[in-house]
Amino acid sequence: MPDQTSWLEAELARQFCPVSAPDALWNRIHEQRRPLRVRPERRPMAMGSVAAIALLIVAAGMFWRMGVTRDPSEEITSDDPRQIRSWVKAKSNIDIPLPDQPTLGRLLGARIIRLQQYSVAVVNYRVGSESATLLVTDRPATGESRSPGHTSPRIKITGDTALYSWSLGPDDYTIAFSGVKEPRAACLLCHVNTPALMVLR
Amino acid sequence: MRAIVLEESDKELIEACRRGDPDAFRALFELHKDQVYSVALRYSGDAAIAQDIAQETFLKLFTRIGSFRGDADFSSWLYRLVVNSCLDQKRKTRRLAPLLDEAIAILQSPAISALDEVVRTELSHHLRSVLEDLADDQRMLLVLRYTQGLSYDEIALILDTSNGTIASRLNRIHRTLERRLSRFATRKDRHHA
Repeated sequence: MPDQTSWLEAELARQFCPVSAPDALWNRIHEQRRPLRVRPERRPMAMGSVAAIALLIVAAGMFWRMGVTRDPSEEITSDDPRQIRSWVKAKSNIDIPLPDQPTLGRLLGARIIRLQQYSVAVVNYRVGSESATLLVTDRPATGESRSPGHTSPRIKITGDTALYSWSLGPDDYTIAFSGVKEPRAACLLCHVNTPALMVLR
Repeated sequence: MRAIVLEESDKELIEACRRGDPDAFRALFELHKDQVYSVALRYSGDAAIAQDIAQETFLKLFTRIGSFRGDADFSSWLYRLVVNSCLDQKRKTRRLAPLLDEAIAILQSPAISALDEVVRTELSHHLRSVLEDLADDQRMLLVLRYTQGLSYDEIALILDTSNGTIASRLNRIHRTLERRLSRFATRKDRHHA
């Protein structure tokens, strides 16, 4: 074919032509614009927090590594943060201040798991090719005063999973995140930037 | 290709991103979303996977912007992010994206005859199947060359290799494609004879 080279060039240009990004792409990347409410100072961990966070880490490990027995009534599939927040609140009385706007990650759903006297709310995300799971439990009241900001931060790396734990108000949080190479991304699930990591370090 | 040298406004935008300015993140996204998504889609051939790749690329961009040196080539830096995100994807999930409207493209082209149209369509389909068999790095070369229209020098900068290597590899890909299409080319010539 005499014009094969030019045909090939033209055909490659046609098959590889640039395209416009879909409008929905930003929604998948959009960050929460809520200002951070973090405390820069570190405080000694109360024993109750130690126990609760240890429990969360155990729960995260169970959920992440082995999965847990599924009860359909304890599970919801949704990408709507408001729906998930109200469902979790109704099921466990745990109020998770999920951003109203879509966050960096894509919400997949939530479930409640029961461990000892605790209920643990489990919220699942997809972040690019990585998975993230937010676990939240409310520690039984002990009379211990709790700061309104992030306190008692901890990071634990186990293989290809990073566990970030902290307390916020009456609740204890853990994020299990598979993106160990990009640890700051875990903060972007709820925050516009990553300074929250400053108190998690 | 977007200008290699950063404009002053781009520098300000990147600096604002470093400060955590959400509007700057959005502005940077708007500037580069088509570039990133096009590479992702043409490499992966799947819109859902391309969105995952683009999301991951911007995630890396936003989290690593603090480590970007202001005097460096931002465009090449961004291309490296998206190229690495693409290559991280499993090849088994890759397939060519359906052409938006191949039939319309064929009808709009200066076809000589109905038979010629048929042969061209067949060639086009065959090329797509040949492209699907290319190695990941070969496909990425074609994406950077034909989707983004980058020069050999620019591709070499992104892939951290030499201009000569890029030229050689692209030449080899072309020869491979032409060889594998030769059977159809012969048929087409026969139809025209």
